Amino acid sequence: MDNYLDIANSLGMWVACSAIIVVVLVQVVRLTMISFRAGEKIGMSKQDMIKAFRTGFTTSLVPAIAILLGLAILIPRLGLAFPWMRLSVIGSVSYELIAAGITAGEFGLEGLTSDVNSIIFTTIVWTMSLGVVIGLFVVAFFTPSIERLKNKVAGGDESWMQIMTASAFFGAVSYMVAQPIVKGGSPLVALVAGFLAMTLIGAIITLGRQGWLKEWALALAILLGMISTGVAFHYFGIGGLDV
Amino acid sequence: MSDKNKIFQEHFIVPVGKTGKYTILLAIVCMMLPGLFLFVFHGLLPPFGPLWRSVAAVWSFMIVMGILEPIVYYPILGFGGTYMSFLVGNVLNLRVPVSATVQQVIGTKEGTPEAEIVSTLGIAGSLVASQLVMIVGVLVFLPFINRIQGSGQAVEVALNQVLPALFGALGGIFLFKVPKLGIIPLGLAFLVALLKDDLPYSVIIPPMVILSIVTARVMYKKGWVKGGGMM
Repeated sequence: MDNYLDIANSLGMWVACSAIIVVVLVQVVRLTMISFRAGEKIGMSKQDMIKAFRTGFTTSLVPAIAILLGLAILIPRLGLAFPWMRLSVIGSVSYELIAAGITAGEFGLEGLTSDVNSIIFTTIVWTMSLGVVIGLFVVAFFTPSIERLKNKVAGGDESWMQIMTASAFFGAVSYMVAQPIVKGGSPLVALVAGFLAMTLIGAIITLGRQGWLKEWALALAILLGMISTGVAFHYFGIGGLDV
Repeated sequence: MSDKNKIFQEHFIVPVGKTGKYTILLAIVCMMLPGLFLFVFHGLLPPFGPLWRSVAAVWSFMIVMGILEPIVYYPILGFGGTYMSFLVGNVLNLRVPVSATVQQVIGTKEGTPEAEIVSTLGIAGSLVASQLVMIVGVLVFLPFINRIQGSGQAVEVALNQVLPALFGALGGIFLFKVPKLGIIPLGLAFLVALLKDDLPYSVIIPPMVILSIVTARVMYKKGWVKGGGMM
């Protein structure tokens, strides 16, 4: 392992990652001001508009803390600055991990292991960044004509569009889900534990009616899956660094 | 067009569209800065082969999701909400419910100018909360980043397995929510993995995406799977 994490956590990386956050904040401030002005012009009450902003703010605080758990999961292999930017903008912990995993695989690594080096890290950074530009271009250029676009794509059938989105995602991850089953060892422990953890959390959410857990489910399940491999190795000698 | 709609068009849709478009284009440029920083200050460039293969694998599913997601969520997020939500992400798990909640709390009717403004403001509030929490979180994590590494072999083993843990968790979500959609791609991928478990992702992901969509289409046509509320 070379010193790529020193670069990933260096001041210059922080500066490079901060620029986009400034753009996001500029956008929020501009759109908030436009909304307030337009709202007043069409006769909405100022209280309602403030209430809308405040409700959005308060209902998002706890779920946003759940995103931090995802951030903690990305730090060991990618440093803090870049995952912070990714999860503040566009990203989600599963997209980032999948993109990183695909890249690591192209270099012959079995997942995001300690064999990640500065070249692999650089390629991960570019893959994650280039990977999402399609969606951003669509939103930048087609939002005003989205109703028309809807009828052109998939014949305007919204149910089918939802299924198609989900099935594209299933297709993308299916091989990566299957791999650990065949490989066995630590990957299999992580897969099974992550699966069981998610099933358990899912049961608590549905049966116990704990809707707030939804935001935490994925990151918690990943964490429990990882911890299980550490425990299985340390106490039972299952798996290890080479499997 | 009524007076109100005209005012709304002129004072909301036009300026929001302009701001939304240019901030997102600017954001795309800024998104490349970390990569450029690695090149300019450290001479690090991604090797072309692995880069384009990785990007192609990611694009093979992101092209479907990138086009469809804005269309599917637009009715809830609205015009301003769409620009903001897709720039900051966590659309499905955070912005969509927030927008729906805010519209319900204020009591606006979907599709009206009032609902547009309320949704935009609610999502703006949501974004401010996210960014704030992320910045505070970073400050909390900062003292610990160098201690995670090298803290024993069991920890290293656990850190290496972040991806299988994610895929196990995703497998759990599939089985919970849409078992029928997941079964064919998963089953087939398992058979492929039995034959060869180290295929490059750029080779296996694109055909699996297409196959998964085709089988989903067949099931949808036959009425075995239904959309709505599944995501």
